[in-house]
Amino acid sequence: MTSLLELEHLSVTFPTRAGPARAVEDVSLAIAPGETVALVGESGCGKTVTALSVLRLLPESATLGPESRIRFDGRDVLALGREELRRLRGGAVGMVFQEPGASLNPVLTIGAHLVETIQAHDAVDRATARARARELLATVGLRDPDRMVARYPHELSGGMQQRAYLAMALAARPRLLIADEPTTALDVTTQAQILALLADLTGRLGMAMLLITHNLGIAAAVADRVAVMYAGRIVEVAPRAALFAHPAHPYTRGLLQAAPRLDGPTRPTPAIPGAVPSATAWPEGCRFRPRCAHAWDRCNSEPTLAATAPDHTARCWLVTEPRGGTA
Amino acid sequence: MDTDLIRFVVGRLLQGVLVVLGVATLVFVLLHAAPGDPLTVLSDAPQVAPDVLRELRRDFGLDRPVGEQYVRYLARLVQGDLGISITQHRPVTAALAGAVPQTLLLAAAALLVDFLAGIGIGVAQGRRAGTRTDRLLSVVTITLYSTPVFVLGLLLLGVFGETLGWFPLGGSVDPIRHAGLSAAGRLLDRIHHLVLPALTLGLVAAAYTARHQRSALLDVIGQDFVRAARARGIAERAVLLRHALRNALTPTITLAGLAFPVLLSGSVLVESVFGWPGMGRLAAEAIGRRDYPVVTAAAILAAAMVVAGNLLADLAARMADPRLRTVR
Amino acid sequence: MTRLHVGIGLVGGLCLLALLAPVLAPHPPHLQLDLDALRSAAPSLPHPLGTDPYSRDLLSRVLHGARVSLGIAVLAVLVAVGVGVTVGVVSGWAGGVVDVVLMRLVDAALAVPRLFTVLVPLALWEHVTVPAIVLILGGTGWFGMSRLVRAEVRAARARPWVAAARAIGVPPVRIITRHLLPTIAGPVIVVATMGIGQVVLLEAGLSYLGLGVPQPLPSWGSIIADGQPVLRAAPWVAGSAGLALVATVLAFTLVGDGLRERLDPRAP
Repeated sequence: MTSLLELEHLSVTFPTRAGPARAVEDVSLAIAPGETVALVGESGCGKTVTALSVLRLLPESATLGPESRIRFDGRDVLALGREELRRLRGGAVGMVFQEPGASLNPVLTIGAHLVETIQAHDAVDRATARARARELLATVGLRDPDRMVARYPHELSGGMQQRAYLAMALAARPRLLIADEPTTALDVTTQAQILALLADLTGRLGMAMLLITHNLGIAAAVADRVAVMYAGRIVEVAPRAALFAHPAHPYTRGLLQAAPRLDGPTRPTPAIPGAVPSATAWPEGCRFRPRCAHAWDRCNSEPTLAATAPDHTARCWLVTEPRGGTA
Repeated sequence: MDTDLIRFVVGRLLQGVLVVLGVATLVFVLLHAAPGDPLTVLSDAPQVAPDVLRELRRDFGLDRPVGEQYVRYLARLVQGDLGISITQHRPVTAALAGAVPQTLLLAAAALLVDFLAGIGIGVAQGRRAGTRTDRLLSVVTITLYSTPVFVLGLLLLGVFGETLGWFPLGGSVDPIRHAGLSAAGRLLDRIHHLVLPALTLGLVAAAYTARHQRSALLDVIGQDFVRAARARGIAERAVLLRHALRNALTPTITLAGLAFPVLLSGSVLVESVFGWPGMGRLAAEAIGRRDYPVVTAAAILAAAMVVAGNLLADLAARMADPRLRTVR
Repeated sequence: MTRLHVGIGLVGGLCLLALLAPVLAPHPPHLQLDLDALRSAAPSLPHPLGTDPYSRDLLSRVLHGARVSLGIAVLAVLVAVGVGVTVGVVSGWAGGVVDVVLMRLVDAALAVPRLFTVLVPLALWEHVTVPAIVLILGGTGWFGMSRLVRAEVRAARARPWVAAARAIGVPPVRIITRHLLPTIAGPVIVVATMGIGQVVLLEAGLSYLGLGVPQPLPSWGSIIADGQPVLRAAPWVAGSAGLALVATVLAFTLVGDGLRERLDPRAP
């Protein structure tokens, strides 16, 4: 099975006043065609930086590690020329962001945004582009596309804005959609609607999706596979069912326990003690060590990803040495 | 949107009228707050005999109660009567009639220079923020900003007028040859005379504009929708023009309203340096002769111009930014 | 930060020069020296900045001009701050009709371009002296300040702790002086500093037009006016005063900019 997207040993560093911030370190991830992978983690773990790297949308000051490889459909993204990169963006790979209101140009109508995007990838005239724009708006569930086309972003609600933005991301029929916290800025009901829309679209269009989220519930609802990130590293990857049934990494287990449940009696949700460290000063050894209840001497050196099952890996010594520490 | 627009314009016009009336009131208060009455300033002038002064007082209605004077004053103002020039012995409106269009012409030309230079420099700086070009241009703008407009005028006059002889040394037209020129020649003559004064006034204003434009562009470039446009595969040029610049210009247009007071204040000095026959120079000369009706009328007119200019700038801003169209 | 330091250095230097002018100046500024030989003479060792068309030593005139221009500007700004803060506090605290009327008048005054607001009282003043100029410049320069102060006072007045203080009977004067004034000090200082630069420009403009300080008091503006007829033959006349002007305004602008960054992060 050839992967659609391959991230290998991706490392991203930012210069800051407090020294270099290693936001992402040695991240490897593969997404198969049509597959939805959720990248889960708290804020500050590097998941957004990872997502932005795919289309090389990071600020100029960011540097990638020398071993970083990004391959889409077999092609080296990091080696693409300007025009090829431009065609990839919004073309075969689409992206939606967390704040749809901020992603839209306040002085352009929705229609203008759509026509601009359509024409950036297809040599069609305005009339055809406008017609296609209306079709796209209907696809994302926006009623009355004719009126919607003339509206300005600030006239739309958050949910409508995100749907409209989704229409733009889908304009060139991408094979991969990167969704960076697409529902975080929306209210709960709208969140559910947008997620349902995303699930429906990926299924219908055979589109792969990289979904960034801090919410395990969302991952559970939509993902085929889940990758958990902590402190710039991937700490666990597994198919959805396996992750929720047999979480291997203490961090994942902590996240699951901390998530409030609607079934069963309400009980205090134990939060993971401590806080995410700063990217300028990751802890020595296993980065989760300061917050881990099972830490022991072995954890002074950083673990590598080890397999607990054929398609289930975790970065924890407990995987290979279950006897260590207080299990 | 049309009814919104009408309501906006009417509302602002009414506000503007109130402001101008407020200015007139302040002028009136000032005139009558001075010890004695406005004509006292003339008492020192040897050419005015005391009984002439008494008659003038009656003519000007200065022997009536203050309240009544105020009402008559406002009434005359609304009808366009700006009083009588003490030295020219004719209505102020006649005295200013020829001068006001000249000032407007100078201000308009200066505004053009202001926008072209200011936006050009500001955008150039914003795109290259942090580089040496940016810092160099900052030095240029901050120096221009600190240069008195009449010093810059003299500098340009000295270099391009006197030393190089490229431009005339003053006036709005060539006093000798202008009448004999063809229509095209007359136009060129006017433009020729307009260049240096407009550059002087415009460059100083441009320094303000460039500073604002630079930060406006920096603000916009960092915004999410610019990155989002790139993520959709929009070409870099379109990203810059349609997304970044388009939004960065809106605050500049709004701030254009602030340029009018600066331009009008500056016009008094620039007109004096270049002998430009405008309202500002007339007002400055009138002071020397204690011809206060001309000066106060000029001040009120200047305020009216500022108000009108602000209204135009706000209208332009509404056109540029759809988010402003639903406001008020 | 370095802008601030450069600016403060320049301002300090200028103030020093201005204060020490009587000591540093080689000649009295109004003294007309050798009328034949030294008319608009080029810079030389005995006259480092040259002489003006009236055979007066330019270095002395520029130094004394610093005293005049800076002195007037500082005093005028003090007047403006005094009036502006007072009006702003009264308007912001009292609210209601007083506030509306005052602010409407301030709006009207702000609609008139600055130079014109100075020209009007100037036209009515019988005998223009230096104190008169200070009063006129200061008296027309407080409008923006009062708006700023009024906004701050209104915002502060609405805060719960102020309501609490009033409820327990703390006299308003005390609330204002002890609590409100310190919060507005920052923005006021920034505006005042920029204001000094602007008043220097304004005063120079007036003197250039012949409407400013009475002769023979030297002002940079009048020196420049003296230099205009001989601009090509003797550019140092207008040039020396012109440079001094630019340097001074630049210095205060830098200081104002730098202060704004540190004291008033909310300003645009």
